[in-house]
Amino acid sequence: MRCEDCLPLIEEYFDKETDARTSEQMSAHLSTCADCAAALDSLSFEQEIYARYDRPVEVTPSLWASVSAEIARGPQPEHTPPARQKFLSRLRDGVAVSLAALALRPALASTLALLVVAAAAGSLWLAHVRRADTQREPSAASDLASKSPTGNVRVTPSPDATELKRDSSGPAEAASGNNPDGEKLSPPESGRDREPASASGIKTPGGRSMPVSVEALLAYQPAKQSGLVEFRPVDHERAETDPTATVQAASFNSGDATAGARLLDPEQKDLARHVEQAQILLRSIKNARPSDGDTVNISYEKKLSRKLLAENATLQLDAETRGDRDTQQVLDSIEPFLLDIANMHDNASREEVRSVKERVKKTEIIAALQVY
Amino acid sequence: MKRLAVNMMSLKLDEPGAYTGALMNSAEELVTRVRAGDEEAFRLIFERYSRPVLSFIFDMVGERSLAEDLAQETFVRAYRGFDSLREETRLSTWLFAIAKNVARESLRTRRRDAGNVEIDGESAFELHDHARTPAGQLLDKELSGVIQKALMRLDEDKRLVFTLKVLQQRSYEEIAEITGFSVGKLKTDLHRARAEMRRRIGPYLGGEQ
Repeated sequence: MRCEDCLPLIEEYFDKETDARTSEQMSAHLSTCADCAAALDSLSFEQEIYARYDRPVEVTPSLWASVSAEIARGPQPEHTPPARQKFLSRLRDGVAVSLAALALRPALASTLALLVVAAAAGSLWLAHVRRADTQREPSAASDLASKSPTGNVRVTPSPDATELKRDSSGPAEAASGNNPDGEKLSPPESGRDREPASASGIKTPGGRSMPVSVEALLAYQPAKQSGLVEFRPVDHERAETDPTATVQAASFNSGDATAGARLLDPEQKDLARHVEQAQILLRSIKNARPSDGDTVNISYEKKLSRKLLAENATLQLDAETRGDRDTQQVLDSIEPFLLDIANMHDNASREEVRSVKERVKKTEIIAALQVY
Repeated sequence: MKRLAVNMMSLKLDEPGAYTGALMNSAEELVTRVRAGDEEAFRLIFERYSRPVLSFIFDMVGERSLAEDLAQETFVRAYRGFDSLREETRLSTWLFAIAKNVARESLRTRRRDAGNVEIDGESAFELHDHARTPAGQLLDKELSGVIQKALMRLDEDKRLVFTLKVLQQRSYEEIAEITGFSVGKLKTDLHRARAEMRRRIGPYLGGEQ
């Protein structure tokens, strides 16, 4: 193989996406060509840089709370009446035809254009007024929730229409009747843009305000402890006593103060990132293919695992100091993989890699790290 | 959840076959349970995939609060559309495909509302001074900021394949499935995206080499 054949395929080779025969040829060429080998090294170096990319996002408890609340609300009805869509479509077609006819009469065309703009503005205003009217009714649900002395709202959709009832004693629950479509709940409001009027925010330790829906607020009693935002599910005794109730929101919300809550702890951020990178490393090994007949190029993985190994040791010490046995166990589980990969040759034998791959697969450690 | 992961991993690692069937929450099983109406199983799916999905969406839209909203939308759509998932083993790919759709819809709306995506005025040349900073002193946060800005300057298709391949380590096959692109297109986009990213974060790369 020559450089002009090798270089166009170097990224594919680096991504372990070349077929066995091409990989073999490239591997042979790379072992003798300094320029092509440098190109491969530079890709490996870039990948290392990207592995350090740390996004300013965390999975927070409110994310699950809002997902579960949204699911509990059920699918959203279409707001735009078909008649209006047809009208807009006809209007658009009409304007297009008129403009085409007036293309050669600029003065008249510009006057008409102004008229059309004015008419469009008027219709938009009307549409806005109409939408405001249609949304007034759904927002009553939120108003009920916010104005209720107990904060409890019971929603019981009938086969024909959704109706809202105020529950004077029980906790918040979204109950679904015998809905033939199997929908959990179908209030006539939807999406993030109809955030309930009474929705408020929860401050994270970082001071960031996160919107939380009414349902989420009703289903949880926020408690502050050690600077972390924690949530405790409210007592759903009322729901148990009501055989017709499907406690959708409640069951979705239960026990969700887990992963998100711990990720709010800044001390855990490094750990989470470390675990994520270990996951990426193992996924990369899992996808590794032989670069020639007998060897697999794992130089990038080897470099990354050495870096992670050092981090792992530091994090193990931290966990030991904190007395966090769970974290220690997770780090202990990652370590053998990191050691094995770090001690392999850049061009590891197929058997070596297969052995690691099999252990990754058998232990399902990638899934376990995802869960962690 | 953490405890579950620990329990899973505290099984004997060196015992052949020790893990066969030990993981009680494989993707296939979770999907089956969700289809049977087990809501707890969906919560487990959320816990397992929320972080990569949120990261992926953030890489696509570049705004934290918007990414959170879109991640929420992704999981809500996933829950409501579970019947459309054909192969249980492809859960992760399917979720990423939904996330991709949600992110692209949002980007389209944003483009319509405010023209092209706002691009930070800082050029690679302005970053040149930072390149002299020794690697050890380069704050990851600063580097992450540079990478994120460079990412946002890529066009949507390139950003999509770059994120999935380089940042999420997905295979070409998976990327083709998630994006609907042909392998040829994704290879071309990936190559161009890498070149653009290299040019934009070049001073950092050069500073460390």
